[in-house]
Amino acid sequence: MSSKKKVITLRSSDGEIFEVEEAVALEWLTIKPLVESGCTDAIPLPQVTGNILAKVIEYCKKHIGASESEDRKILYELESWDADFIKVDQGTLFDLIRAADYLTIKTLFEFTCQTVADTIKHKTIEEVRHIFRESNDFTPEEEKEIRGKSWWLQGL
Amino acid sequence: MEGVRRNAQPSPPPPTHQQSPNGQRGFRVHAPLVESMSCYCKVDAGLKTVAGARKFVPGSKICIQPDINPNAHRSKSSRRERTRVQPPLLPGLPDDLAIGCLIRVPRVEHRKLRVVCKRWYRLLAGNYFYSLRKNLGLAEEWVYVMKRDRDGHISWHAFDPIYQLWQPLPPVPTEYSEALGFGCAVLSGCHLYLFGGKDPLRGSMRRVVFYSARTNRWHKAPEMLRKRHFFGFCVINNCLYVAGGECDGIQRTLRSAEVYDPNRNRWTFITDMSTAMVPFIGVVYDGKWFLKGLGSHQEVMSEAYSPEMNTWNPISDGMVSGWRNPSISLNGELYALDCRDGCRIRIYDRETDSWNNLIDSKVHLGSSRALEAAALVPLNGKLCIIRNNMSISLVDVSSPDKHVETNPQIWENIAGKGHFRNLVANLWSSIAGRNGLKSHVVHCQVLQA
Repeated sequence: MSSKKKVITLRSSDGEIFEVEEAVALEWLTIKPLVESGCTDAIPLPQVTGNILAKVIEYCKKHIGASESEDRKILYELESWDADFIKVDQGTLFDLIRAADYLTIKTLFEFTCQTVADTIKHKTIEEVRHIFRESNDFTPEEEKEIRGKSWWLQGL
Repeated sequence: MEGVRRNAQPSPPPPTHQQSPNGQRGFRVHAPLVESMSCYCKVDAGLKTVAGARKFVPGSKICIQPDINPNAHRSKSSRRERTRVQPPLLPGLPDDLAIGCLIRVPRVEHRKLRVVCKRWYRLLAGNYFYSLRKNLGLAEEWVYVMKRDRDGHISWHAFDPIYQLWQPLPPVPTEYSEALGFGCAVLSGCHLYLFGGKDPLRGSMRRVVFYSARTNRWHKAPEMLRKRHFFGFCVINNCLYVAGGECDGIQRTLRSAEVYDPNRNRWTFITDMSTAMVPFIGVVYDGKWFLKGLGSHQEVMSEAYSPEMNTWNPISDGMVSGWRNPSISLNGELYALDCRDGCRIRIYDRETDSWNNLIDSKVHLGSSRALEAAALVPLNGKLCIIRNNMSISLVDVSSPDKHVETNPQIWENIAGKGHFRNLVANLWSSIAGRNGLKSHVVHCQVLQA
């Protein structure tokens, strides 16, 4: 408890051990009470695999302190770093959302969810169905009803 | 606190040391304190036609009950079974997390989301989705502009100020497609009501309909107690007030006034005005509803209604005498325009009981009908000016520096004439062009979703 750079040990579901600074772990509300109670054992995180946990830690380390910065240059750099960070496949993105939810990391949760939401932008309905493996389960009558015979739902 | 939980696997146990960290969770980022899920599971009804919607309970918890169906019980149980085996909203994610993603999709894409699959359609038709957006500060405000074309037809469009796009909307119900002197107001932030008015063939109406920005559909509401057109209207504490106006047949000016409470879903009379009046301007300011209009002998008169006292009082102060259309009450201040094209803004000063110039854009557009500023609405805390040619200006009236020379951001033109970007809007713009400049704005409102 003495030095300011206290390190917290975490164990992923597949048994990998990670060390993070206390300041980072305190942002994770799920484990915050354990960290605060001075727990010295490795904290088991049975819902997060090692490769996802590594990504989560990478994100949180980058963001700690930087998000609050008012320096435009830092924020701009952070934004482009985020853009590179999130260039992952859908499975990884969903795993990150689950991990952010499980660990209760607000910034990462909002960022990853927004990333999923943004993939819908400027896509056709068919493209959206394809991306999210959704099938059109409307009967032709229902689809007609929803789209209407009207012009204002066409061209989507 | 938990809102929806996982649809599939139960929530994993948190790390098992000492106390459970759940108690320490300060927030749920994705599914916080929301209203009950009751509507979310009933929204199947939304698939039925609007015309078939007989009853609804407006206000915060809208539910549409379709026509009574002899197979209601059977369909209900089968619906329940279907819910049980229902596939997830986003394959690969528990539903609460999928909702966390879908509520972040910009509003401009919502029409598309509804058509992807039934589960998404039901999600967007329920209260849950939009109350989450509202509670998390994700709700977006759009400006709704209702116009009368040269041939007398009412058409309307929504303007998305973020993407600066005009959006097509389901046409207004036929009884309003050529109506005159009808009212238009917003209740609960997302329901746009049309009420009263005069049908060119059938005369004065008691009719009330509303459009929900959440479902993108029109619904029926209880009719007013009196037929009336060219009346005054306002919203106080999420209740809709109407007063005065004219009524066909008897050919007389009305004194009566009534109020609609969406939570009770009915109209009731309030105290009659002191004299009959056809109001031409109204505003809610300082907790009172101010109306100015023409009496039965064409004389100009003013009255103010106090909702707490349920009383009307004649008024004749500097506020009323200098008061011109359009005007708006925003953050407790009263604003009006100082020139026809809305290039200068005036504010009412209570202390001196007079109207004073506040902001001058220094750009005079002209005084033609097309450039006339037709309406003022509040948009994201700013004052929004809408002109007949559909150009829109946003003015940050709360900014401390009121001079455009030193603070150019204070006056922003967000939709210039011909500033249309999507196909339908372009089509619309060419129709507007064909009709010449005679078309004009009838009503403007802002809806959140």
